[in-house]
Amino acid sequence: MTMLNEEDIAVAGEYVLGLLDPSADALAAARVATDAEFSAEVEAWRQRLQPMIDGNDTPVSPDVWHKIAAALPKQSGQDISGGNVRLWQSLSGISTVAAAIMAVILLQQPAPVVLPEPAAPLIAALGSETGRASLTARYDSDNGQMLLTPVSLDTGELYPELWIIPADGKPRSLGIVSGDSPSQISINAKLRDFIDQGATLAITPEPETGGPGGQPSGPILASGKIVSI
Amino acid sequence: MTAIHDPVDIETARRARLTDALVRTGEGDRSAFETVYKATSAKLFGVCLRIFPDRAEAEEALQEAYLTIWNKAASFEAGRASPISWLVTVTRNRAIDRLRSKGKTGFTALDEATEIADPAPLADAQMLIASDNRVLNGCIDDLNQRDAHFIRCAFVAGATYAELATSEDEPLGTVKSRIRRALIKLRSCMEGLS
Repeated sequence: MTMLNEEDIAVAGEYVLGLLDPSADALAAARVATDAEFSAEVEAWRQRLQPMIDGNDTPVSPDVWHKIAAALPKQSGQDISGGNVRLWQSLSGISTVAAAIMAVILLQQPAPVVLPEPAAPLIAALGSETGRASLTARYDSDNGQMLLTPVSLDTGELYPELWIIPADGKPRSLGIVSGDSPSQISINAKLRDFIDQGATLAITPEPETGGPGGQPSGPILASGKIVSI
Repeated sequence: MTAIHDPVDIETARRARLTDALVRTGEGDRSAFETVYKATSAKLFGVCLRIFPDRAEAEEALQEAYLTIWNKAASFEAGRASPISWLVTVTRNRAIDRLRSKGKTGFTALDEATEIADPAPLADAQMLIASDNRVLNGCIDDLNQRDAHFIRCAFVAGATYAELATSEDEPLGTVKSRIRRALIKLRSCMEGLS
Protein backbone atom coordinates (compact mmCIF):
# COMPACT_ATOMS: atom_id res chain seq x y z
CA MET A 1 0.00 0.00 0.00
CA THR A 2 1.31 3.41 -0.86
CA MET A 3 0.18 6.67 0.69
CA LEU A 4 -1.00 8.97 -2.06
CA ASN A 5 0.43 12.47 -2.24
CA GLU A 6 -1.13 15.51 -3.92
CA GLU A 7 0.63 14.69 -7.18
CA ASP A 8 -0.96 11.20 -7.24
CA ILE A 9 -4.37 12.65 -6.41
CA ALA A 10 -4.13 15.23 -9.20
CA VAL A 11 -2.98 12.54 -11.67
CA ALA A 12 -5.96 10.35 -10.70
CA GLY A 13 -8.26 13.32 -11.40
CA GLU A 14 -6.56 14.11 -14.70
CA TYR A 15 -6.83 10.43 -15.67
CA VAL A 16 -10.60 10.46 -15.11
CA LEU A 17 -10.94 13.76 -16.99
CA GLY A 18 -8.95 12.32 -19.93
CA LEU A 19 -6.27 15.01 -19.68
CA LEU A 20 -3.13 12.85 -19.54
CA ASP A 21 -0.87 12.43 -22.55
CA PRO A 22 -0.68 8.86 -23.93
CA SER A 23 2.36 7.73 -21.92
CA ALA A 24 1.13 9.19 -18.62
CA ASP A 25 -2.29 7.73 -19.37
CA ALA A 26 -0.77 4.26 -19.88
CA LEU A 27 1.18 4.62 -16.64
CA ALA A 28 -1.99 5.62 -14.76
CA ALA A 29 -3.91 2.68 -16.29
CA ALA A 30 -1.14 0.32 -15.15
CA ARG A 31 -1.28 1.85 -11.64
CA VAL A 32 -5.04 1.35 -11.48
CA ALA A 33 -4.41 -2.36 -12.13
CA THR A 34 -1.66 -2.73 -9.54
CA ASP A 35 -2.06 -0.04 -6.83
CA ALA A 36 -5.19 -0.40 -4.69
CA GLU A 37 -4.95 3.10 -3.19
CA PHE A 38 -4.53 4.77 -6.55
CA SER A 39 -7.36 2.68 -7.99
CA ALA A 40 -9.63 3.74 -5.09
CA GLU A 41 -8.75 7.40 -5.73
CA VAL A 42 -9.62 7.02 -9.43
CA GLU A 43 -12.97 5.48 -8.48
CA ALA A 44 -13.52 8.34 -5.99
CA TRP A 45 -12.85 10.90 -8.75
CA ARG A 46 -15.33 9.11 -11.03
CA GLN A 47 -17.99 9.38 -8.36
CA ARG A 48 -17.10 12.99 -7.54
CA LEU A 49 -17.32 14.11 -11.17
CA GLN A 50 -20.22 11.93 -12.28
CA PRO A 51 -22.96 14.53 -11.55
CA MET A 52 -21.27 16.72 -14.19
CA ILE A 53 -21.92 14.17 -16.94
CA ASP A 54 -25.33 13.03 -15.71
CA GLY A 55 -28.14 14.30 -17.88
CA ASN A 56 -31.80 13.75 -17.37
CA ASP A 57 -32.85 10.13 -17.68
CA THR A 58 -34.35 9.86 -21.17
CA PRO A 59 -36.28 6.87 -22.57
CA VAL A 60 -34.63 5.37 -25.64
CA SER A 61 -36.42 4.29 -28.82
CA PRO A 62 -36.84 0.46 -28.96
CA ASP A 63 -34.92 0.50 -32.27
CA VAL A 64 -31.71 1.15 -30.36
CA TRP A 65 -31.89 -2.15 -28.45
CA HIS A 66 -32.74 -4.01 -31.66
CA LYS A 67 -29.64 -2.60 -33.35
CA ILE A 68 -27.45 -3.47 -30.36
CA ALA A 69 -28.90 -7.00 -30.15
CA ALA A 70 -28.33 -7.48 -33.91
CA ALA A 71 -24.67 -6.56 -33.52
CA LEU A 72 -24.04 -9.15 -30.79
CA PRO A 73 -22.79 -12.64 -31.60
CA LYS A 74 -25.86 -14.87 -31.96
CA GLN A 75 -26.55 -17.25 -29.09
CA SER A 76 -28.85 -19.75 -30.76
CA GLY A 77 -27.71 -22.22 -33.40
CA GLN A 78 -25.87 -25.54 -33.37
CA ASP A 79 -22.32 -24.40 -33.63
CA ILE A 80 -22.40 -20.99 -31.99
CA SER A 81 -23.02 -21.64 -28.34
CA GLY A 82 -22.72 -19.36 -25.36
CA GLY A 83 -19.43 -21.15 -24.72
CA ASN A 84 -18.09 -19.91 -28.02
CA VAL A 85 -19.13 -16.39 -27.20
CA ARG A 86 -17.12 -16.67 -24.00
CA LEU A 87 -14.20 -18.07 -25.94
CA TRP A 88 -14.31 -15.10 -28.28
CA GLN A 89 -14.40 -12.69 -25.40
CA SER A 90 -11.45 -14.37 -23.74
CA LEU A 91 -9.27 -15.07 -26.78
CA SER A 92 -6.15 -13.05 -26.27
CA GLY A 93 -4.90 -13.41 -29.80
CA ILE A 94 -7.59 -11.51 -31.64
CA SER A 95 -8.46 -7.88 -31.52
CA THR A 96 -12.01 -6.71 -31.02
CA VAL A 97 -12.10 -5.54 -34.62
CA ALA A 98 -10.95 -8.96 -35.83
CA ALA A 99 -13.56 -10.57 -33.57
CA ALA A 100 -16.24 -8.32 -35.06
CA ILE A 101 -15.16 -9.27 -38.60
CA MET A 102 -15.17 -12.98 -37.64
CA ALA A 103 -18.63 -12.56 -36.20
CA VAL A 104 -19.87 -11.18 -39.50
CA ILE A 105 -18.23 -13.90 -41.59
CA LEU A 106 -19.11 -16.86 -39.38
CA LEU A 107 -22.60 -15.86 -38.41
CA GLN A 108 -23.56 -14.39 -41.78
CA GLN A 109 -25.42 -11.73 -39.91
CA PRO A 110 -26.07 -8.31 -41.39
CA ALA A 111 -23.19 -5.94 -40.77
CA PRO A 112 -23.78 -3.93 -37.60
CA VAL A 113 -24.68 -0.30 -38.23
CA VAL A 114 -22.38 0.92 -35.48
CA LEU A 115 -18.69 1.62 -35.93
CA PRO A 116 -16.33 -1.16 -34.90
CA GLU A 117 -14.76 -0.53 -31.53
CA PRO A 118 -11.05 0.32 -31.69
CA ALA A 119 -8.84 -2.54 -30.49
CA ALA A 120 -8.10 -2.32 -26.78
CA PRO A 121 -4.62 -0.85 -26.32
CA LEU A 122 -1.96 -3.18 -24.95
CA ILE A 123 0.26 -1.88 -22.20
CA ALA A 124 3.19 -3.11 -20.15
CA ALA A 125 4.93 -1.74 -17.08
CA LEU A 126 8.59 -2.75 -17.26
CA GLY A 127 10.39 -2.92 -13.94
CA SER A 128 13.29 -4.53 -12.13
CA GLU A 129 13.49 -6.32 -8.79
CA THR A 130 15.69 -3.58 -7.41
CA GLY A 131 13.20 -0.94 -8.55
CA ARG A 132 16.04 0.97 -10.22
CA ALA A 133 14.71 0.69 -13.75
CA SER A 134 11.17 1.41 -14.83
CA LEU A 135 9.46 2.07 -18.17
CA THR A 136 5.98 1.91 -19.61
CA ALA A 137 4.92 0.71 -23.03
CA ARG A 138 1.67 1.26 -24.87
CA TYR A 139 0.92 -0.53 -28.14
CA ASP A 140 -1.78 0.19 -30.66
CA SER A 141 -2.35 -2.96 -32.72
CA ASP A 142 -4.39 -1.01 -35.28
CA ASN A 143 -1.32 0.83 -36.58
CA GLY A 144 1.61 -1.14 -35.12
CA GLN A 145 2.89 1.83 -33.14
CA MET A 146 4.45 1.42 -29.70
CA LEU A 147 5.13 4.28 -27.33
CA LEU A 148 7.89 3.44 -24.86
CA THR A 149 8.37 5.86 -21.98
CA PRO A 150 11.35 5.50 -19.64
CA VAL A 151 10.66 6.62 -16.06
CA SER A 152 14.11 5.68 -14.85
CA LEU A 153 16.75 3.76 -16.77
CA ASP A 154 20.54 3.73 -16.62
CA THR A 155 22.52 1.68 -19.12
CA GLY A 156 25.86 3.37 -18.39
CA GLU A 157 28.10 3.46 -21.47
CA LEU A 158 25.79 1.09 -23.35
CA TYR A 159 22.45 1.59 -25.11
CA PRO A 160 19.02 0.23 -24.10
CA GLU A 161 17.71 -2.39 -26.52
CA LEU A 162 14.04 -3.41 -26.39
CA TRP A 163 13.09 -7.07 -26.87
CA ILE A 164 9.80 -8.88 -27.27
CA ILE A 165 9.79 -12.38 -25.75
CA PRO A 166 6.69 -14.34 -26.82
CA ALA A 167 5.55 -17.75 -25.52
CA ASP A 168 8.43 -19.58 -27.27
CA GLY A 169 10.88 -17.76 -24.99
CA LYS A 170 13.04 -16.46 -27.88
CA PRO A 171 13.81 -12.73 -27.71
CA ARG A 172 13.27 -10.67 -30.89
CA SER A 173 14.79 -7.21 -31.06
CA LEU A 174 12.51 -4.18 -31.34
CA GLY A 175 15.54 -1.93 -31.65
CA ILE A 176 17.66 0.47 -29.62
CA VAL A 177 15.52 2.98 -27.71
CA SER A 178 16.13 6.18 -25.82
CA GLY A 179 16.89 5.83 -22.12
CA ASP A 180 15.76 9.30 -21.14
CA SER A 181 12.90 10.35 -23.42
CA PRO A 182 9.83 8.62 -24.90
CA SER A 183 10.39 6.59 -28.09
CA GLN A 184 7.70 6.10 -30.72
CA ILE A 185 8.49 2.74 -32.31
CA SER A 186 6.94 1.51 -35.53
CA ILE A 187 6.90 -2.27 -35.04
CA ASN A 188 8.15 -4.27 -38.03
CA ALA A 189 5.18 -6.01 -39.68
CA LYS A 190 6.86 -9.43 -39.21
CA LEU A 191 7.02 -8.90 -35.44
CA ARG A 192 3.55 -7.46 -34.84
CA ASP A 193 1.94 -10.85 -34.14
CA PHE A 194 4.32 -11.31 -31.21
CA ILE A 195 3.10 -8.13 -29.46
CA ASP A 196 0.24 -9.61 -27.52
CA GLN A 197 -1.16 -10.23 -24.06
CA GLY A 198 1.11 -12.45 -21.99
CA ALA A 199 4.28 -11.80 -24.04
CA THR A 200 7.15 -10.08 -22.22
CA LEU A 201 8.92 -6.84 -23.09
CA ALA A 202 12.47 -6.52 -21.79
CA ILE A 203 15.38 -4.08 -21.87
CA THR A 204 19.06 -5.07 -21.97
CA PRO A 205 22.18 -2.87 -22.25
CA GLU A 206 23.82 -3.39 -25.64
CA PRO A 207 26.40 -1.83 -27.99
CA GLU A 208 25.14 1.02 -30.20
CA THR A 209 24.51 -1.38 -33.10
CA GLY A 210 22.47 -3.76 -30.94
CA GLY A 211 23.15 -7.17 -29.40
CA PRO A 212 25.66 -9.19 -31.50
CA GLY A 213 23.90 -11.57 -33.91
CA GLY A 214 20.55 -10.05 -33.03
CA GLN A 215 20.66 -11.65 -29.59
CA PRO A 216 20.77 -9.97 -26.16
CA SER A 217 24.23 -10.01 -24.60
CA GLY A 218 23.61 -7.94 -21.46
CA PRO A 219 21.51 -8.71 -18.37
CA ILE A 220 17.79 -7.88 -18.33
CA LEU A 221 17.52 -4.47 -16.64
CA ALA A 222 13.73 -4.23 -16.76
CA SER A 223 10.93 -6.47 -17.96
CA GLY A 224 7.15 -6.70 -17.84
CA LYS A 225 4.25 -8.69 -19.27
CA ILE A 226 1.89 -7.15 -21.81
CA VAL A 227 -1.70 -6.78 -20.66
CA SER A 228 -4.84 -5.48 -22.35
CA ILE A 229 -6.69 -2.54 -20.84
CA MET B 1 -41.15 4.82 7.01
CA THR B 2 -40.84 1.05 6.56
CA ALA B 3 -37.56 -0.44 5.48
CA ILE B 4 -38.74 -1.33 1.99
CA HIS B 5 -39.54 2.29 1.20
CA ASP B 6 -36.27 3.57 2.55
CA PRO B 7 -34.53 5.08 -0.51
CA VAL B 8 -31.17 3.82 0.78
CA ASP B 9 -32.43 0.20 0.87
CA ILE B 10 -34.01 0.50 -2.55
CA GLU B 11 -30.76 1.92 -3.91
CA THR B 12 -28.73 -0.89 -2.29
CA ALA B 13 -31.01 -3.58 -3.75
CA ARG B 14 -30.92 -1.94 -7.18
CA ARG B 15 -27.15 -1.78 -7.09
CA ALA B 16 -26.87 -5.45 -6.06
CA ARG B 17 -29.13 -6.52 -8.95
CA LEU B 18 -27.18 -4.43 -11.41
CA THR B 19 -23.82 -5.73 -10.15
CA ASP B 20 -25.04 -9.29 -10.57
CA ALA B 21 -26.36 -8.64 -14.10
CA LEU B 22 -23.12 -6.93 -15.13
CA VAL B 23 -20.97 -9.80 -13.80
CA ARG B 24 -23.14 -12.30 -15.72
CA THR B 25 -22.84 -10.13 -18.84
CA GLY B 26 -19.07 -10.57 -18.48
CA GLU B 27 -19.68 -14.33 -18.60
CA GLY B 28 -21.43 -13.92 -21.97
CA ASP B 29 -25.01 -14.04 -20.64
CA ARG B 30 -27.10 -12.17 -23.17
CA SER B 31 -30.28 -12.00 -21.08
CA ALA B 32 -28.25 -10.48 -18.22
CA PHE B 33 -26.98 -7.91 -20.73
CA GLU B 34 -30.58 -7.09 -21.63
CA THR B 35 -31.30 -6.63 -17.90
CA VAL B 36 -28.38 -4.20 -17.68
CA TYR B 37 -29.70 -2.37 -20.74
CA LYS B 38 -33.24 -2.07 -19.40
CA ALA B 39 -32.02 -0.83 -16.03
CA THR B 40 -29.54 1.73 -17.35
CA SER B 41 -30.31 2.77 -20.94
CA ALA B 42 -32.36 5.85 -19.94
CA LYS B 43 -29.56 7.04 -17.66
CA LEU B 44 -26.76 6.34 -20.15
CA PHE B 45 -28.79 7.97 -22.93
CA GLY B 46 -28.92 11.05 -20.68
CA VAL B 47 -25.10 10.93 -20.54
CA CYS B 48 -24.85 10.59 -24.35
CA LEU B 49 -27.25 13.53 -24.81
CA ARG B 50 -24.98 15.69 -22.61
CA ILE B 51 -22.10 14.96 -24.98
CA PHE B 52 -24.12 14.85 -28.23
CA PRO B 53 -27.16 17.15 -28.02
CA ASP B 54 -28.28 15.82 -31.42
CA ARG B 55 -30.59 12.91 -30.63
CA ALA B 56 -29.64 10.73 -33.62
CA GLU B 57 -25.96 11.09 -32.82
CA ALA B 58 -26.58 10.41 -29.13
CA GLU B 59 -28.39 7.20 -30.10
CA GLU B 60 -25.41 6.07 -32.18
CA ALA B 61 -23.09 6.89 -29.28
CA LEU B 62 -25.35 4.86 -26.99
CA GLN B 63 -25.21 1.83 -29.31
CA GLU B 64 -21.42 1.99 -29.39
CA ALA B 65 -21.34 2.35 -25.61
CA TYR B 66 -23.43 -0.78 -25.04
CA LEU B 67 -21.34 -2.85 -27.47
CA THR B 68 -18.25 -1.68 -25.56
CA ILE B 69 -20.00 -2.62 -22.30
CA TRP B 70 -20.71 -6.09 -23.73
CA ASN B 71 -17.09 -6.51 -24.80
CA LYS B 72 -15.56 -5.18 -21.60
CA ALA B 73 -18.00 -6.46 -18.96
CA ALA B 74 -15.58 -9.26 -18.02
CA SER B 75 -13.14 -6.59 -16.80
CA PHE B 76 -15.68 -5.09 -14.37
CA GLU B 77 -14.52 -5.81 -10.82
CA ALA B 78 -17.51 -5.78 -8.51
CA GLY B 79 -15.42 -5.14 -5.39
CA ARG B 80 -13.60 -2.13 -6.77
CA ALA B 81 -16.14 -0.03 -8.62
CA SER B 82 -19.83 0.72 -8.45
CA PRO B 83 -21.63 -0.69 -11.49
CA ILE B 84 -23.16 2.68 -12.38
CA SER B 85 -19.84 4.47 -12.09
CA TRP B 86 -18.25 1.80 -14.35
CA LEU B 87 -21.07 2.02 -16.92
CA VAL B 88 -21.00 5.83 -16.98
CA THR B 89 -17.19 5.78 -17.36
CA VAL B 90 -17.32 3.38 -20.32
CA THR B 91 -20.13 5.40 -21.94
CA ARG B 92 -18.44 8.76 -21.37
CA ASN B 93 -15.05 7.55 -22.65
CA ARG B 94 -16.55 5.91 -25.75
CA ALA B 95 -18.62 9.01 -26.54
CA ILE B 96 -15.60 11.31 -26.09
CA ASP B 97 -13.58 9.04 -28.45
CA ARG B 98 -16.39 9.47 -30.97
CA LEU B 99 -16.38 13.23 -30.44
CA ARG B 100 -12.58 13.34 -30.91
CA SER B 101 -12.75 11.27 -34.10
CA LYS B 102 -15.12 13.91 -35.46
CA GLY B 103 -12.83 16.75 -34.37
CA LYS B 104 -15.58 18.34 -32.30
CA THR B 105 -13.86 18.70 -28.94
CA GLY B 106 -12.83 21.98 -27.44
CA PHE B 107 -12.60 24.37 -24.55
CA THR B 108 -15.57 26.36 -25.75
CA ALA B 109 -17.54 23.40 -27.09
CA LEU B 110 -19.72 23.28 -24.01
CA ASP B 111 -22.36 25.94 -23.70
CA GLU B 112 -21.89 27.61 -20.32
CA ALA B 113 -25.62 28.03 -19.94
CA THR B 114 -26.21 24.27 -20.05
CA GLU B 115 -23.30 23.20 -17.90
CA ILE B 116 -25.30 21.49 -15.20
CA ALA B 117 -28.40 19.64 -16.35
CA ASP B 118 -31.69 20.81 -14.93
CA PRO B 119 -32.71 18.50 -12.13
CA ALA B 120 -35.49 16.09 -13.07
CA PRO B 121 -38.51 15.77 -10.80
CA LEU B 122 -37.22 13.87 -7.80
CA ALA B 123 -38.21 10.32 -6.95
CA ASP B 124 -37.08 9.08 -3.53
CA ALA B 125 -33.99 7.33 -4.85
CA GLN B 126 -33.06 10.39 -6.89
CA MET B 127 -32.82 12.49 -3.74
CA LEU B 128 -29.49 10.78 -3.06
CA ILE B 129 -28.21 11.72 -6.50
CA ALA B 130 -29.43 15.28 -6.04
CA SER B 131 -27.39 15.59 -2.85
CA ASP B 132 -24.25 14.42 -4.73
CA ASN B 133 -25.04 17.14 -7.26
CA ARG B 134 -25.24 19.82 -4.61
CA VAL B 135 -21.87 18.86 -3.14
CA LEU B 136 -20.17 18.99 -6.55
CA ASN B 137 -21.88 22.20 -7.63
CA GLY B 138 -21.15 23.93 -4.32
CA CYS B 139 -17.46 23.06 -4.58
CA ILE B 140 -17.22 23.87 -8.30
CA ASP B 141 -18.60 27.32 -7.51
CA ASP B 142 -15.65 27.87 -5.15
CA LEU B 143 -13.16 27.47 -7.99
CA ASN B 144 -11.92 30.13 -10.37
CA GLN B 145 -14.67 30.30 -13.00
CA ARG B 146 -12.39 29.62 -15.97
CA ASP B 147 -10.84 26.60 -14.21
CA ALA B 148 -14.29 25.25 -13.35
CA HIS B 149 -15.45 25.75 -16.93
CA PHE B 150 -12.37 23.98 -18.26
CA ILE B 151 -12.83 20.99 -15.93
CA ARG B 152 -16.40 20.66 -17.23
CA CYS B 153 -15.25 21.01 -20.84
CA ALA B 154 -12.57 18.34 -20.36
CA PHE B 155 -15.02 15.89 -18.84
CA VAL B 156 -18.08 16.58 -21.01
CA ALA B 157 -16.53 17.85 -24.26
CA GLY B 158 -13.08 16.19 -24.31
CA ALA B 159 -11.16 19.49 -24.11
CA THR B 160 -7.37 19.17 -23.77
CA TYR B 161 -4.71 21.21 -21.94
CA ALA B 162 -3.43 22.38 -25.32
CA GLU B 163 -6.84 23.83 -26.20
CA LEU B 164 -7.05 25.61 -22.87
CA ALA B 165 -3.51 27.00 -23.24
CA THR B 166 -4.35 28.36 -26.70
CA SER B 167 -7.58 29.89 -25.52
CA GLU B 168 -5.95 31.53 -22.46
CA ASP B 169 -2.72 32.37 -24.29
CA GLU B 170 -0.76 30.87 -21.42
CA PRO B 171 2.13 28.37 -21.46
CA LEU B 172 1.03 24.72 -21.27
CA GLY B 173 2.91 24.18 -18.00
CA THR B 174 1.17 27.12 -16.33
CA VAL B 175 -2.22 25.88 -17.43
CA LYS B 176 -1.48 22.35 -16.20
CA SER B 177 -0.40 23.43 -12.73
CA ARG B 178 -3.39 25.78 -12.48
CA ILE B 179 -5.82 22.93 -13.22
CA ARG B 180 -3.98 20.53 -10.91
CA ARG B 181 -4.31 23.04 -8.07
CA ALA B 182 -7.99 23.44 -8.90
CA LEU B 183 -8.45 19.64 -8.76
CA ILE B 184 -6.79 19.42 -5.33
CA LYS B 185 -8.99 22.28 -4.11
CA LEU B 186 -12.12 20.63 -5.53
CA ARG B 187 -11.30 17.34 -3.82
CA SER B 188 -10.61 18.96 -0.42
CA CYS B 189 -13.88 20.82 -0.65
CA MET B 190 -15.89 17.72 -1.62
CA GLU B 191 -14.26 15.48 0.98
CA GLY B 192 -14.92 18.13 3.61
CA LEU B 193 -18.59 18.44 2.74
CA SER B 194 -19.52 14.82 2.15
